[in-house]
Amino acid sequence: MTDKSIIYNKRDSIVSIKLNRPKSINAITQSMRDLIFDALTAYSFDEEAKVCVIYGAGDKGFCSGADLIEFGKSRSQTESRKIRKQRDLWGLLSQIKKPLIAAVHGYVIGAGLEITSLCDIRISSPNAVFAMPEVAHGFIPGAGGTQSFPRAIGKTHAMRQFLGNRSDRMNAQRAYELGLVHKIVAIDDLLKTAFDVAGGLAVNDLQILTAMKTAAIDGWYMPISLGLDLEKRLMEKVKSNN
Amino acid sequence: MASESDLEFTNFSTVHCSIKNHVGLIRIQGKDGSNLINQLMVAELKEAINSFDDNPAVRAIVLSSKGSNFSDGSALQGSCKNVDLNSHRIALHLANTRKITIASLRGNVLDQGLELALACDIRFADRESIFGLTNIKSGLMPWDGGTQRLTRIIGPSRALYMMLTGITIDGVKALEYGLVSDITSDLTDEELSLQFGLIISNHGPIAVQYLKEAVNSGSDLNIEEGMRLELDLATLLQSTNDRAEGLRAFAEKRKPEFQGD
Repeated sequence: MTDKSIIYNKRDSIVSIKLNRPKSINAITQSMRDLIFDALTAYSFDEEAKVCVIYGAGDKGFCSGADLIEFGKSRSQTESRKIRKQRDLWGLLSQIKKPLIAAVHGYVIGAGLEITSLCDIRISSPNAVFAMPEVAHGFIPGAGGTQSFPRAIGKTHAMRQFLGNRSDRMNAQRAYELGLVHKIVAIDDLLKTAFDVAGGLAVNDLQILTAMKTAAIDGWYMPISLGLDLEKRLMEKVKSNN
Repeated sequence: MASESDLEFTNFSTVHCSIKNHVGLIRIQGKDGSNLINQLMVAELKEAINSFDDNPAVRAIVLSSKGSNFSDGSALQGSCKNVDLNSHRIALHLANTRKITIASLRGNVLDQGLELALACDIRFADRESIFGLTNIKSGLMPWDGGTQRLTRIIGPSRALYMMLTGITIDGVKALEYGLVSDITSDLTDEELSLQFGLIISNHGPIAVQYLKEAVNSGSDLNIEEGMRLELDLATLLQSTNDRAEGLRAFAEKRKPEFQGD
């Protein structure tokens, strides 16, 4: 494998995915999307792996979005829809029932922000800039952003981000105020903090982490009575295995 | 076509409409400064909203008011015993527009007035505005979508607190709650709203409408179903001329010019 556009690493129970095209601010190509899909599939099936940290290589940023240079060049629309359904990275990200941590810096744009929104814990450096510019390019976010982003910061603020222009972009402080970012740390401490948080989670039983996330995420879309049932079932399962 | 609809608009007595730079502006104007919403206003608002929603020259709709208040609420006073409340409702009609709606809010934004604002996609407010669903104080409850929309927009804890106590909050608090997208500093609420409408009108009209559909329809689905809807709409968009223009403009480092096809 010569494609190093992502680097998958595993140390004990913590895995990491580094987006590794720093010259293009880690813009996501189709092959990179497939590699992330493989890495996340490995993470979800690896019984030792408990936490995953996703971060971007280079000084400029976490991820500048989908690589627009590739757009419209390959495959018909029906073909690309079929492939996206077969290797549905964004669906996979939303369904993984193990914790995902995003450590972001610099540009967090488009698909980069969509990946971030699908993570559970988001840590940012002070220089981060968040934007969803798809609509201004005649498009809509297509990596789950129309669904995950309003759920992360509320519809009122999400619509402004979707429809605004450069002056509406969020800096790290604003993202923190809106609850998109949970912690802002100096850029030199970003990865250390992310892996510290991951380490803190990894002391727990995988089963508990999974039950917790399943209850919170799946329960969110249920009527409260069914959500409470789900919580009870998961609780009983966890108890009976301890 | 624009002049024909302008002519029609002059017949409205409680609603004033105009179009500038592809942004449709609807200002409600009741008899006194409190802009109470009566049945005539409901009928005229529906008409005005429809005509802007159907008019290809309009790419975003700003809902504002004349004078220093947005609205004190419904003109229905006292007992509503024999009143068909449904005929006084307007919020759902507003929420169902295909185009993006922006509420421009100042002064009192109360009861049905707030319910109207909640049905818009984006809200900008004067920092001194007064927001509240105070129906409980007269033995009623919100009846134009307020119990549903306020809860979804600011969360059940804050929404129940506001609706049970009937308290009012100002613009600063409303921003903190996520009830409004921004509050005034240099520009007035209407200037803020029109400025944002202008930004929207420069985007691709189909992308904007699909975005609204993905967000609104998707928020009632679970995330997997929502993401399938998003994928279908995004795939459909790839075939539009506007999308091709967006990519061309990006490659040529210039501003795209979208035609809506």
